[in-house]
Parts: sequence; structure tokens; C-alpha cells
Amino acid sequence: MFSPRLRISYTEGLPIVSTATLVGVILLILSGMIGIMTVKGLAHFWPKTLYQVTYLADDEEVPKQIFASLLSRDFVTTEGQKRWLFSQASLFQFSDQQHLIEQQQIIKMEPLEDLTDIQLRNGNRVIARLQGLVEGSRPLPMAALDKLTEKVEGQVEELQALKRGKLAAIHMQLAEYDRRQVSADAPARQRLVEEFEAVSQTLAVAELELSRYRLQLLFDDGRYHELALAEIESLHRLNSLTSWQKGEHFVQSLWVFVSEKPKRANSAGGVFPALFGTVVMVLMMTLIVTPLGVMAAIYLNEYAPENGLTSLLRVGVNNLAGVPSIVYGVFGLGFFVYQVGGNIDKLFFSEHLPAPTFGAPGIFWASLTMAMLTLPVVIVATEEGLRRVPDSLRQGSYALGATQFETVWRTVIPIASPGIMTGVILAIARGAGEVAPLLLVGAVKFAPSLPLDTEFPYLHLDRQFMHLGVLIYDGAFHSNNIGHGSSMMFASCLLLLLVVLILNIVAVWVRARLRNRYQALAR
Amino acid sequence: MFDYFDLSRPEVDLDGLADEDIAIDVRDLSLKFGSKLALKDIRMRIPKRQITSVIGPSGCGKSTLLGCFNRLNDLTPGCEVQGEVYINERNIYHRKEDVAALRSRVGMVFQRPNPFPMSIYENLVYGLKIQGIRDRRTLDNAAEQALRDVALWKEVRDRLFDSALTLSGGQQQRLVIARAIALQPDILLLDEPTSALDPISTLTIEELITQLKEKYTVLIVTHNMQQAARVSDFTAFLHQGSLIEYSDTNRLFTRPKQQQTEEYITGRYG
Repeated sequence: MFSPRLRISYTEGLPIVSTATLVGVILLILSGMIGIMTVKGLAHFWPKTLYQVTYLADDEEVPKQIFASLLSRDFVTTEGQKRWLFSQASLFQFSDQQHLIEQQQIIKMEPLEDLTDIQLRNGNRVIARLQGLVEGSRPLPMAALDKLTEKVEGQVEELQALKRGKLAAIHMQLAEYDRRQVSADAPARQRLVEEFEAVSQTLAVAELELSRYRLQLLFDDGRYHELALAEIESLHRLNSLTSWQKGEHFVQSLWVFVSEKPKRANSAGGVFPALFGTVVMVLMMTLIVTPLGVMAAIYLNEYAPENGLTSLLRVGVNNLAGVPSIVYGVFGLGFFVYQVGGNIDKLFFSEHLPAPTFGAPGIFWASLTMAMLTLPVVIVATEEGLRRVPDSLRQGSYALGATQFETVWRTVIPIASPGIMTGVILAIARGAGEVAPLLLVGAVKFAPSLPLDTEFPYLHLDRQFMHLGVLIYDGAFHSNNIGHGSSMMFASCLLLLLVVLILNIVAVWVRARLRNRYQALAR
Repeated sequence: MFDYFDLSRPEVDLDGLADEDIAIDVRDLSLKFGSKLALKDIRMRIPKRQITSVIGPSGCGKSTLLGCFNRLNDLTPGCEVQGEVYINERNIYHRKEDVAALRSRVGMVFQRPNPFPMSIYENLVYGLKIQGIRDRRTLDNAAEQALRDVALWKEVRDRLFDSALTLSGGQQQRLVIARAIALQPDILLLDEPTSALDPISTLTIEELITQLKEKYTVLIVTHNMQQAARVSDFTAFLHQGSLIEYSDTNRLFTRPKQQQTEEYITGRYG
């Protein structure tokens, strides 16, 4: 009988099976990594049910009650008891409290309707039961809450604009007078002081007016408190949300995350400055490293004579790629910041000394340091691209009367451009993920202002900046509220992955276009 | 073999040519690659607006000789030249010679078609742009004229901005010739221009070469003796770096003076 059967001999089959298995394992690890980032990162934004948890702690006789959201059910004690992790948030603590409670000790978990998750303007979070709404001492119907919140929010924003605009301007002017040592009784100065007081007065009155609207809250320890609406940033009755509303809430918090400033030492709020800083730093780095790397590669491949020195140079470049990144950080700090920056300050900004302008870590030095770090990658990839340009094309160009420079510029570089882009892609990938050197040369946990704004000269090269990688690093070392901080860390990780992915997709797209245009390498 | 010759054409004696009929005057040219002597004391007067072919066995220095006329050999490391080559009464090996300018007056076409991976049009105007010509109309006219000269205009006129690599091998080679003549050179060097092509393309190129003679001095290196006999007016036979015989094509193929030449053209070696 003839039976069709796939027959693979042992010597043929083993390599196929083993390599395929390994590839599978690698894919599994990769997808696992991305999966964990995605799930844990996105979970940060999904609204969690609020519970009134009643439990009996080990050494106590009376049950305790907390308002909390459930973070995880995965903790197991050494005795094999399951423990659940809750996040409690009360007005009377600095920040969220984590509670690990044994499953057996939990008496009741009630998702009460009126439990409310409140984000305060100072960044704190509060879970409380909503009891009532008052204006002064007059009770208002709860139905008016939404409208009232909107109104108060509008007024709060107006007041803040006033503070930031007018009050800040007067402050600056006064500081200027101080610097010029204008005497306190100068008329101009006195006018200014009067104006300052008038504005402050208006503000105080308006704030008092606003603080009449209050929310009556009941906390888990039985205390009542009236919270001014003006202090509240947002308020969510998570337990009464429909699935659709939960989705809306999810999208909203996602948006807050990417568009707003961080709060409460980077454990709440958004990461926009870090996202922005990362992108600006990577773009600046790319702008610096590409011409440098390409020129170096062109010298090595097109101009340098083939001798021992050139080979030595090439070996050196290859080895630079392996130097630990922290070494670049120290180099950047020692050379760029102290040496170069210090001298720039002496030459151009001597009136500000001893306060440094460029002699301190800043985004420009960070970009430059990262450019040094990624330079070998660009050089190697570009040289590879140059080597693949057929010599016949160079000769063709020479034979048409082109000089060596014209040949390189008009023929070799365009044809090698996909190779150059490969280098840029690798540089972006490496540059966006590196944290260690940045900590030394300009990235900080919190920067008060962005490196790019509407104020002249728009791009502030001397400013320190925030970086997603630094934020993740920082998040991993948060002290007491690991649960919340770390979920933010996962979200930042996811965002960083996305940033690298998007930058890479753009670069790959450019490379594909260039390849299409100069498909010389087919032959 | 006699089919190839146009016997009605009177034989020309090279020594009898006046100086103004000479395009390239090679005087005692020797060339070394490192320690290897590639050309030995070449003396040769190449007539204007004629087709001169260089034949000889592989490695005899034919292509090297061609590379001396636009100094492309300079690019090869270790290349060392002695002697003089006069083009337009100037020694191109003079140390003040502008090599790039020389190469724009002496065009070259290589064995394998090497169009740049750009559009057909960009290929044609490459040399002109390097000469600093930016005027769009001038460039367009030059490109069209060059394409007409190589009989490629009808085939590619509606796809001038397609990649040159979409052309067939024969078309690519004609494009490369067009690219060289767009610069209006005095001399055209063809280094085995048909060896990578099929017979029909070869025929087209050969016809083209005979027409080019009206405007340009053509030098063609070939290892195909029939080709040399078919297209050229004069033929030089090179052997191991020395010029063995150089005369009117008809005479060289029918009544060679040197025994080596006779042995080569009758196929006894090579």
C-alpha cells in the first residue's frame, strides 16, 4: 500500500525542530513582555470598583472598616494563605495606603453605590461616601452637582489664569526692581505693590466666594468632612458607572495620562512633560548624530587610505559601541557640562555667574551625550550601506567628469541612504531607551518647564527635562505606595515602547521610500 | 571573414596623417600597478573622427590603455604612469591637468551597463549638472538629442522619469552611451561595450558606434575580432602590455606584418 507520509530524516529533522522551537520560545518571550506591559499598563486606567471592606485584623477584637479599591488577589503568605491587596485613600493621610488583608479575615466587601473616587487638585485621591451638597449652610439637591462642578471649575481656572498672568507679572517686575536695587519707597514700586495687594484682595474674595460650595463626605473611619468643590479636580462615582461610562472614564484617564503634568511626586497625574522631553531629546540627538556619523563613515569608506591606521580607527569605532552607557554619561558630565558648558558661561553668560547657564546639565548636553553614545551605531550601519554601493557606479560618475566629492554627494550618499536610515533607526531605538547617562547630564524627576515653549528663544537648550525612562526608573523605587506607583510605571513603559515604535515606524517608512527610489542593490 | 571588410575603402597609412587629424597622441607611455608593468612604451597616434579598436588576449592591457585616456586608472591604488598622452595638444598627465574636466571631454562606457539607480532623465543630465548647467531647457534639449543619437528616444520618450533600471540590458547600454555623449565629448572610450549583451543588442550597438564616428573619435576595446573588423577603421593589437601592431583594420586583418598578430587573428592563441 502506498501511504503518503512526510518523512524527515533524523539529521534533517533535528535542526529544523530545534531551531523552530527556539524561535517559538523567543517569540513567546517577546509577546509575553509586550503583553504584560499592555495589560498592566492599561489596567492603570480602567476604573476599579470601590468597596467598603470590613475585616478583622489579627490582633484586634473589633472589625475595621476601610474604603478601598482592590488592586490584586495574588499575594500568598508563607503559610499558603491568600492575601488581597487593597488601596485605601482617605483625606487624612498623605497618599494612598496599601493594605494586605488575608482572605479569611475579610468579613464583608460591599460595593456601595455612593462610594466616590475624588481627585483633588493637589494630586491626592480620596475615597468617601457622598452625603450631601451645601452652599454655605443651605443644602442643595445632589442633582445639581454636575452643573455646579462645571461652574466652579470654570471659575477656578479663571482665578488661576489671573494668578499666573497678572500676579506673576507683578512679581517678576518686583524682582527686577530688587535686582536693580530700586528703593522701597520709589513711586513706581509703591504703585506696583498697591496693585499687587489689590489683585490679591480680589483673588481672596473670589476664592472665599467659591469655597461656599461644599461637598459633605463620610470617611471610612466614621468622620464627616465638608470639602470645598474648588479643591476637587474630578469626581467619579465608579460603582454606579455603566460599562460604556467605564469605557469613557478609561479613555479620559488615558488622555490625562499623556496630556497632563505629573502630580504628587510622579505617582499621579500624567506624564506629558516626560513624553515631550523624550521625543525632543531623541529628535535633537538624531539631528546631531546623523550628519556626524555619516561624515565619519564617508571618510572611513571613501577617503581614508586602506592602511593600518584606518583599520585601527574602525576597530575603535566598533568597540565604542560596546562601552557601557554610564561611561558616556560621566564623559558628558565631565566634558560637555563642566568643560564646554563652563567655558561658554565664562565667555557669554558671565553676568549670571556663579549661577550656571550652560554649565549645568541640560537637554542640549543630554542630546549631545546620547549622540556620542549612538554615533558608533550610525557609523557602522552607514559604512555597511556605503560598502554596498557598487564600484561600477562610482566609476560611472567619475567618467562623467565628477570629482570625488561630487561622486560621493550625488551618487554614493543617495544610494547608501537606506543604509544610513538603518543606522538612524538603530540609534533612535538605543537613544530612546537609555536612562543611565541621562541622569547625569540633564534628565530630572521633575522639571518645572518644558524645553520647548512659546517664550523666546522657544527651544531652551539649557533647561533640564523629564524623560519617560527616568520616570520609569523613579517609579520603580517609589516607597510606600508601590501598587499605584508601579502601575503608573507599567503605563509609562507602555508609552515608551509606543514612542520608540512610532519613531521607528516613521524611520522605516522613510527607508522604504528611499529603497524604492534607489533600488540599485538588486544587482 | 572577408565579409566583414569594406574592401572598397582605401587603406590609410597612419604615419601619413597630419597632426591636426590626430585626436590622441601617445608618447612612450608606460604604466605600472605596484611592481607589475601593465603597459610598455606605447607609441600610438589615434586619428580624429575614426573608430579605432584595441584587440588582444585577456590581460594584455587593453582596458588599462583605455583607462589612460581619461585617467580613470588613477583611481586604482598603486598606479604609476610614465610618458605622455597628448589630447588637444595638451599632455593630460601634466601635473596641473584638471582631471575632472578631462573626463568630461573624454567619455567612457564600461563593459557592464552601469546606469545610476535614478530616472532615465537624471542619468542623462548627470554630467551636465556637474558642469553647473541648471537651465531646464538646455538640459531637456541635451537629453533629447543624446537619446536621439543613440536611437533610444522613441523607446523611452514617454517614460523619461521611470527608473533607468527598468530598461533592458541593451537599452541600458545605449542609455549609458547617451549619458556620455550628452556632454558633447571629443572622444568616446568604449570598454568591451557589448560583451554583456545578447547578439541583437550587440548589433544595435555596433550600428550605433559606426554612426557615432561622424561626431566623435571612438576607441573601442574588444575581445571579439569580428567586431573589431566590422566596426573599426584602425586596429591596434596589444600583447602583454606592448603594442605589437597598429594599422588600418583591413591591412591588419588581411596582411599582418607581425607573426604574433597573425597567430592571434587566425585563432592560434588568445
